Amino acid sequence: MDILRAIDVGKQFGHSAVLEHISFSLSPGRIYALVGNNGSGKTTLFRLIMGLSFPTHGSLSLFGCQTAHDNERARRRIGALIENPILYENVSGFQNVNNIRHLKGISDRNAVDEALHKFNLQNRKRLPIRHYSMGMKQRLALACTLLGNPELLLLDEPLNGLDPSGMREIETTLLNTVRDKGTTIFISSHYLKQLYGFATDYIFIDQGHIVGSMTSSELERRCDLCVYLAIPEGERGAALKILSRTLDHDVKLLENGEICVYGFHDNLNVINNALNRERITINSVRTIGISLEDYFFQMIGGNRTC
Amino acid sequence: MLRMLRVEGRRAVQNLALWIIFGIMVVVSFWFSGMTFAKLPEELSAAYGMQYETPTPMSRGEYVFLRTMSDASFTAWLSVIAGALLIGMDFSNRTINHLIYAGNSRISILIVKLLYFYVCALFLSAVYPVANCFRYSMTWFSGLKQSDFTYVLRCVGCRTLIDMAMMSFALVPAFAFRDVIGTLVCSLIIVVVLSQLMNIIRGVGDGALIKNAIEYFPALAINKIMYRDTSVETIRKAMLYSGTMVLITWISCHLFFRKADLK
Repeated sequence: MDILRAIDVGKQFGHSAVLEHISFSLSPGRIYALVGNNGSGKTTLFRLIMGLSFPTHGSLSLFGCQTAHDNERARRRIGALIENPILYENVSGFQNVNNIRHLKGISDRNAVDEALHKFNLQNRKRLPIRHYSMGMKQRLALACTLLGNPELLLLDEPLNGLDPSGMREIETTLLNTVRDKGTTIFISSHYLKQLYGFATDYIFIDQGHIVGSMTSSELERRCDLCVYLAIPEGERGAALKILSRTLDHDVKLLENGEICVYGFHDNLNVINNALNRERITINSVRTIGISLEDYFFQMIGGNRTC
Repeated sequence: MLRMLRVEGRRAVQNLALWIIFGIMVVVSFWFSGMTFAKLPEELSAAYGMQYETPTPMSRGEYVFLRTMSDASFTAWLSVIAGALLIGMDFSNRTINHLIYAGNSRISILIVKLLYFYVCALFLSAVYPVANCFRYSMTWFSGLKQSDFTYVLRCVGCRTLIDMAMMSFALVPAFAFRDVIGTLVCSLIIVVVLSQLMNIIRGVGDGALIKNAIEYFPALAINKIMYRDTSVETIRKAMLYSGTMVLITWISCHLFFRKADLK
């Protein structure tokens, strides 16, 4: 059973489409990274999943639920941290987590102390929230999110405001949670290096569209080497069509006129044969390894910052 | 829903702003009550009563109770503050999102929020009447007869429903704007417009269309139904009007909140 399934989901604000034709599914026990620029629609997607907003079209199904009512109830199986931490002001860290414990219907009082201990907040638990630093608030919000061992964790840029050791600490806690409880994590970030090596699956989003999704091994393979072909200007269009039709890989025409075949380094003869059959001239061939960021830049068009 | 109610109750107890307002209300109520009622004699004659708009001679205790029950000025302003503080702030701080994350439906969240709002606002609005009665009506209360007791219960019951209707004005902006500033500004405008409208109505002669239309408007109805000799028909009309207003407000809040995009 899928933990989450989105089918053709779209969201419009007025005439502006923020998300369009979003379809994907999440399997249990994996860590999914949602990668995209600021304003690409990551937070809106999370908000739709958590019922803070409603899709203009399409459907979302949580834990196999079919109706809106069942989806509402299923949200108690999710721990969510969307945008900035949501905390009850003027009360202590302990009271914050305790309120969430009551809301989630967790009878075990020790769960609050355990959650605070997990994020090193045990010594500051009686301190009012206004005295917490940004990083402490973020950790407290994560403690609230993990309370009650949710089956799915929805984390929108959760490492914001944390120092490097805090980031490492959170990553370790999340990895332990996946390992011990089998929790599925859906995490977003625009800081790509944070997710590299952490996630098991990647979903790339740009301007409200999913532009690619792959496993971490597939991504590593694709980032390993790319083939850059220099083709005479008059034959570039035809070459692009042939390669797109023949190969099961992403093919893009770059701004400098080169054709880039992502992740295709296994057998250059296939490219050569395909183009030779159509009598297309290849001026030069070069292969270069790229980073996750470069791969993402090239996927979304190559000329925007991330 | 019970879980939500319990958490909202805990939050009300933890809400420092509510306790500050409560403290201010206690001080202001005692001060205001002293200014208004301290110089009254124990027994008000008809003439004296006329001066204070009493239809019949009565004891100071009963008169203070009557006047207190007929004074709605505190309630209107309280509802503005309470609407912004209890509902608008929840939207602004996004703490309402926790209720959605916990798997509650929007209709159940709305019901809990309305209950929370009414309980807190009614608790605050009760400070002034209680302060007045505590200072000047205790003798009358200690000697209540069966008929007096029924009268007191009727007044308290009617006043509660009328207060709920008046407070509801602040609820619609809270669910429509879903932030503190929007709620505060809009409900302030509503209160000012309504008070101006009521001043105008008072100057209009009986039988005028506008006067008939809003004769049982909560703030006006209060003055009509608090007397002992008020007819059952008048009370029924006033309650029907208030009840309808409360119901319309709830439906409006539901329509605004049902599919609203939260922050």
